[in-house]
Amino acid sequence: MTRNPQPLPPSSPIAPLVPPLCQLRQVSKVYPMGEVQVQALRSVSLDLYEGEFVVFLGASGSGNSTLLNILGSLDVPTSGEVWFRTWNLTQANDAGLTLFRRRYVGFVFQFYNLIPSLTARENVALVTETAAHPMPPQEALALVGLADRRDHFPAQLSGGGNNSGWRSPAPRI
Amino acid sequence: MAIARAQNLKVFITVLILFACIITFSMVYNSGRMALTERSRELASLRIMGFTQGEVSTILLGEQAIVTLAASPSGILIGIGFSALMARAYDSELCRLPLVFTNATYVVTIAGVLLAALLAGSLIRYQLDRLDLIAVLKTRE
Repeated sequence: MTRNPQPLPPSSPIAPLVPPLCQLRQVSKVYPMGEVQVQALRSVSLDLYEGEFVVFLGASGSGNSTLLNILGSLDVPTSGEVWFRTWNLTQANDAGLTLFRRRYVGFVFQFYNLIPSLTARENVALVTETAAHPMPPQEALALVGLADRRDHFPAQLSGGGNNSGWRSPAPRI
Repeated sequence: MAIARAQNLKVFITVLILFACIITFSMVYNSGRMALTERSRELASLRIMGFTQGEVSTILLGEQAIVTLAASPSGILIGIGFSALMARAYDSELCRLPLVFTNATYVVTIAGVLLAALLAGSLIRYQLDRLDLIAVLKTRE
């Protein structure tokens, strides 16, 4: 029986009073490229708390995307552990990772990734219908100022309208 | 002589059925593969957002199943017409092929199409389960 790792020593003088939402312990990721092994992450340990706003900054190729992919359960580390509350994601199978993404992860896609044949409301409904406590699509669109554009297709919306982050059901990450 | 001719006819019919099965499989598989290629980005996006493999498969393969079932009646009608044309073409003074359809003809035809669709669907599902989710995040439409 595995247990949650101990939180890291607080980096700020104000120690968090709650347990971390997400914990990474000694996470490494290696991409085998033929005979070359590309080390994208090397022994990353990190605690993330609920309500925190965290930004990963780094030069291109320094493993930012790899780290986000692992946090979003799109990829698995080569070694190390990823915990979400009491859930060891490194031991989860594909169905478990899908469930995790569905319940707790919100994605804002760089290239929109909307379904062109569906209207704005239908695109939002795709996600709100899979959430445990769905927000009505109209309400979600109103939050980003697109209530009047609900029957418009992605091609009829501006770039900003396309990428207003309106497809995140109830994200924790 | 008549027995030999009947044997030849049997071989000919077997070859025709074999070709029909291959063409049916190819058509259904090709249609499914094209749909997967065209929509892999959308389907992978849905997987990223938490849709299960089963749900994503239902979207794609459900559409393929509807298309296959909707196309079957017209396919049967075209098949009947084509058989009638072939029977007429073989109609000569020496031999005649009667145009006979029994219930078994329809059952075997539909079963063959469903089997081909099932096989093609399984192959598509295999590829669908291996969509590269990370690549979708990096590529433009």
